[in-house]
Amino acid sequence: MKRNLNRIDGRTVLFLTVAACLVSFLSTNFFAHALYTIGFVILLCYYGIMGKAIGTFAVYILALLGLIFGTRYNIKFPSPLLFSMVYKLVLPMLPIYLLNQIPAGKLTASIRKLPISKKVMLVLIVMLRFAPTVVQEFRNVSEAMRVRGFLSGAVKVLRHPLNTLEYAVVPMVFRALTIADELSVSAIVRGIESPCKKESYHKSKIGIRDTILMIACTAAGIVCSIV
Amino acid sequence: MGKKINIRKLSFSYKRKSLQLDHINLSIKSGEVIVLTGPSGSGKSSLTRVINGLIPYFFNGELVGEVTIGEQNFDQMKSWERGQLVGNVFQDPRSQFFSNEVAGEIAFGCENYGYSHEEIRDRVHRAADSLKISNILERSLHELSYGMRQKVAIASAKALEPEIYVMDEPSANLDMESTYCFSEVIEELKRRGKTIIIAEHRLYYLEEIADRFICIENGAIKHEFSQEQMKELKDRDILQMGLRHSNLRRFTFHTLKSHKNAEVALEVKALSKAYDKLQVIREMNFSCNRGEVIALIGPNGTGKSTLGKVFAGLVKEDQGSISIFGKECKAKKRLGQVWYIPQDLDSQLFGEDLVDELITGRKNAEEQKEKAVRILKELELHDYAKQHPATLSGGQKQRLALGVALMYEAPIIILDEPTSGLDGANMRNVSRVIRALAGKGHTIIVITHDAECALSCCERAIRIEKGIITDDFQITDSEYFLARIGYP
Repeated sequence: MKRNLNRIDGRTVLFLTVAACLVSFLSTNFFAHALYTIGFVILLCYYGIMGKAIGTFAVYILALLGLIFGTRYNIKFPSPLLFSMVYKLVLPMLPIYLLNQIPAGKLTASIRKLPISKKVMLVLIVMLRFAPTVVQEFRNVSEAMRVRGFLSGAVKVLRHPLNTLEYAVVPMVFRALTIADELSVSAIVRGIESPCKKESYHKSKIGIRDTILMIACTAAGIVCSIV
Repeated sequence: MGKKINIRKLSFSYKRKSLQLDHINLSIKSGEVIVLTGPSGSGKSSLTRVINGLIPYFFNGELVGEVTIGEQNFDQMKSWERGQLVGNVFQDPRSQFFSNEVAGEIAFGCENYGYSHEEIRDRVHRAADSLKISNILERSLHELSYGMRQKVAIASAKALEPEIYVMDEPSANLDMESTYCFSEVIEELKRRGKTIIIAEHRLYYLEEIADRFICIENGAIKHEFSQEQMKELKDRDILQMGLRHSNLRRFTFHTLKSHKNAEVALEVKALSKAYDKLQVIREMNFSCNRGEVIALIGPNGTGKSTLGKVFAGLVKEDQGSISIFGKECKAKKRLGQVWYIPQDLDSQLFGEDLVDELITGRKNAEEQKEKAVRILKELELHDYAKQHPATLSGGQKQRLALGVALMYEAPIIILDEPTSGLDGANMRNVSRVIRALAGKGHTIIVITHDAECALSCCERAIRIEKGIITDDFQITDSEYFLARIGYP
């Protein structure tokens, strides 16, 4: 499975992510949307991310059922809007799992080959590097909040939403500043500012497999969006 | 022939602050291993930052004096030119990693310097071979222990084949075994004629490697010891200079007076916890009493922190029971009764100043202020009451975290690596506070690799390996404890 993942180019996964986002928000047909999602679930299983793919698909089914029954029987709680949001967000989540599995070095090498400006490229690279760290830091902050009883019950959180937000945001901001400094330092001392042309440890090349995947994804996406 | 580093009349201050470095004159021969030590905030890290060029390039301030490497003046070099000459290893490898897998991380520097794909692969494999980590090149960095991550950080620096290595507290998060593996790496670099400058509090693993120990205080070089002179330092001198011991066998051990009473504070029966297929805690049984201070020791990645989080109710156990003062408690009920203080305290700071930190989230906050002030006085933090918690030093933050636990009157406190990155004086200060809290009836579990801290404040040690208790003993002599923590 890992071997399969090594054969896919980072640009292909970025393309799949954009395609999934577009189809999810343009498609109005439940059936077509579900088929496109199933296609991604199969793709993830092929790349060895079966557990997450099936779990996420289960959430998708629940959201879809919630949406159908909620609108048909005029159920107000939980809100159909909530189900609709989950339903729309599941599909883009699937290629993001794939993106997460690709070595960061390989992804960076792929991004460097994209026809985009250097500034946008840098933002993309830093975002991809920073996202897992922020998630980890958020986990640490939420643990501290639980120890102090800031998250001791839904009622408390709902009664003081601004306080809860403040407790979460203040340490996150401090940590983010520190981490940003540490990362910048680490990059500078390893020559990030060197102006020379850069090559990579990972070879970045779009192969036949990538081309087929992108064409299939585009064709299916167009069909799903117009039916 | 390598390059000599010459530092002449070097002074530095961050914007509008007091001098961080004050007239430093230092000459480092090629192939020397130099240890910079001294109290936290004394200027060690600032000096390493001058040597690797981050001062004044990244950390702005006023720098006067001269730094030359060989014939080159450091001022006139570009940041990336310095990067090829000086390799860097920092305290926490997590925050210096740019990749999520080992090979990509080692390759990061080489990629920046425009080497060809083949040259990058060759350098990565050579660096990994020399550190014996070729078998983990495809693994995710998140799966690795601290020791392995530090090896990856060194390999990443080594792939660029620099002449000089600068390391800032590289052992702070390592267990004893990983620390000695790391010292072998330094020895190997020394054999290859590399110049190594290490800013460090823990000195025991460097006693036989370092050529000189330079003690910095208030930004100035106060003492300089050769390897032999360092070995001859008396306990009294070490305490006076606020250092840690360069040989843990020379630590003067006193059996601690126990504050333990008959009341069982925490009792664990058949406790198990697994993540996916990895069994982190296996069928664990033990108990501790009110007033006891226990060191939880064992290698990196063996389940100590998970155990602490399970006790505190942050992680749910899979099987078994946990009782607090005789009453079985589920995870939710343990929250707040067992207080877990993690190693990284920056993500725990919620207040605008120290009093606010203690009363944030408390009912009747105004009425609690008096109590908060009393606790700050007890912990000798009252002088900093108006400061933002994030501006405190590591030792002060640790005491503040204990203060929060006192504010909430938590009877059981778990500290995860409380003295990591602390100098000798601060380590002893935190240890003293822990003893004082035990005297007031708190039960304290200290998860630590720090032998000096454990010997200073713990009366009992529990050793864990692969989720099982492998030893549980009263600390009555330092020799046995040191053997169990892995000191050779």
